[in-house]
Amino acid sequence: MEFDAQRVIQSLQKQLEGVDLTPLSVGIGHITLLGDGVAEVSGLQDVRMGEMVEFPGDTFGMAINLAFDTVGCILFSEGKHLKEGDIVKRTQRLMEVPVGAELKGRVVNPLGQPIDGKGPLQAKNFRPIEHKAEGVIHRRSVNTPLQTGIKAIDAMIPIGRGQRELIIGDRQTGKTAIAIDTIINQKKESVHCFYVAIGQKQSTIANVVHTLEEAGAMEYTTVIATSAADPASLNFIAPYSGCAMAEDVMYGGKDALIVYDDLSKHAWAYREISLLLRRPPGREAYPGDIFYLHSRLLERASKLSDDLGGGSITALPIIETQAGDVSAYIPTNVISITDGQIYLETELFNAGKRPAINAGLSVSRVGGSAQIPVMKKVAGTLRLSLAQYRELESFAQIGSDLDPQTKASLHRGQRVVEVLKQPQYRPLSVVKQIVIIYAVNNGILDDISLEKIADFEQKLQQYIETKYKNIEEILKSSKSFTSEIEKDLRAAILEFKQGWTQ
Amino acid sequence: MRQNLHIQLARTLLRSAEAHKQDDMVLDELVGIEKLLKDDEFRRHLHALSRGDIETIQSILQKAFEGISDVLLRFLAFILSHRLFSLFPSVIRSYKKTYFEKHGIRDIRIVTARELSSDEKKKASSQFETLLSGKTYLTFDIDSDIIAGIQIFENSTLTDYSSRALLMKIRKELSLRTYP
Repeated sequence: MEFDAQRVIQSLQKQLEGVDLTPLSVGIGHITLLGDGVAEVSGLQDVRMGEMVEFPGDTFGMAINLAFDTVGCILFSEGKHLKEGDIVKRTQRLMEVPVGAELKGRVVNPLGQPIDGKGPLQAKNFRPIEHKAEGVIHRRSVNTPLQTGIKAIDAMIPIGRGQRELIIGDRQTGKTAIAIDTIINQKKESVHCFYVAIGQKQSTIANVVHTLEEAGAMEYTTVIATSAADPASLNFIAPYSGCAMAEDVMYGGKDALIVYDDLSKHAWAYREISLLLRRPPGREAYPGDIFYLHSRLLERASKLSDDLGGGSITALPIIETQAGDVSAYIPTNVISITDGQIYLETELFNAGKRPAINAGLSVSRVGGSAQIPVMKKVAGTLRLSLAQYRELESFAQIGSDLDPQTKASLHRGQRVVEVLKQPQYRPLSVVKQIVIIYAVNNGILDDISLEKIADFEQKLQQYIETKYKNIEEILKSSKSFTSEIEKDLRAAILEFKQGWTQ
Repeated sequence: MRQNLHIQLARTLLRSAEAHKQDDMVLDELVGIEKLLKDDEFRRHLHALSRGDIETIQSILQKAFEGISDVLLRFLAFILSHRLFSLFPSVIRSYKKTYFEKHGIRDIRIVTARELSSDEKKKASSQFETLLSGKTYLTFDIDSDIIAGIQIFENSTLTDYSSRALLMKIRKELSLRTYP
């Protein structure tokens, strides 16, 4: 290869054209105190809240405590090389992250730096990580469903685009699995998904990325990852960074889905920072603004009005409870902020009823208006019959003499529970869900033994998919569940049942 | 509150120095000690004194810093005996800041890559005084890391005319726009 020095110089000159190289005056300060991931700095006159500051050795931080004569900063790296008296420079830039379609398929840290080994990010636009949520004038009510592909959720706890639905439960109850299934189900929905991993094990993050890649979901997903080994400051800013990236999609008139996995660890990280910055501790040693920490984040999820492009951010925050205690400080805070919650139970999970959703405690406050009409009609009584079954189930354990009506309710309930079971990473289209839920709700499965229901469902779906493709279209687009549609659907299911052998 | 302890300590020192009419002298002494503190060994030795009682510390300091003002001697002994030595550099900075604010003096630190001659220093002083139309307190430091040029630190502002800063700017512009 011939090395042409002239060409290199010309290329460099071209790149530097129009670049202002005159020296600038920058505000500076000195480190007066250093803690684990935090620094107290004197000076830094006129520094703004949330402004990025530069420490020696390419270490960056953010000003988050503005006190008399000193500024409290969080460090985005360990900062072991820093010492008292070191100079800290203002950058005059609020903390911002790269945004745009270039992020699709990438794994980045909360600073927007790629960590997936796929080369630098060619992002052209940036957004500040903190942004005020839109006011009521610029919003509209949720009107489009966000299909999770999970029967129990789409039928009983529907989620709309722009909604904030909390996923809550103890450890190992399938919280992340629900979020991942929801992401996988967005394949044909043109929803840009963001998965924010906060303070998780590196292996867990790698597994999530691998699962998404295998399902072909990474094409439309961005993973913002911080591990347990990262400083608390990165865990603290991770959800805000993710939200800024999702906001770019929303303001572009498109739909985004963001999963915060999980906000309990986010609260821990903020508690750690606050205690190091000597902010007064309150209940469970959390600082006084712990509610605002999550409310200002989750308020940014919204459905914009048509004037602003009609885009949306649907947020699925995750909270891990300890021994099923939903009345703890952080869970109650987040429950009160969100538009509903999906409550997962260890007992159900261990009994093999997965997803282990407790239908009684789970609720969606706004999603009902976004549910497609046919599903709304078909699944209307599902929640009630499941609640009745749970009540009768406990009675049945006490006495054996049951009247025929109770027996029938129990019999139906068992089938409903069986139908709502769903394997991990296998989301179902809404039409397929409608078919099986209609079948179980109308007693078509009553004479089928429990062990055979999964097989029946699988084969029925295949049958409808191949033989009655038109029904799929009708169910999806129909504005109401007319008697004709019902007649056709029933006939198709019964036709299959006749040919199906147990 | 420990967060602002260095400021309180600096103000206390200034008040006692003023009472003894030694505030100018203490300032010069503090600037001298500040330069010495850059030497890790000196810092370690001074820190090691923390183990003794206040009288012992005071007598050692008196021998080490011959002619040191009484106010600063007592203050330094107090700081060391109360194991607050880590705050001392911040105390010096706060003392300077408070002193200069009180006297309407602008504190300017000039950093160059090589030592300036006395003529150059004098020229710089007179130019700054004319330019800023007021009293200035100039200190000169050498830092070969800046390659060439000059860095001017004034209060909490840095104006960087160094070659290092220029090269850093060029590097930033030429690199792909990754963040930060």
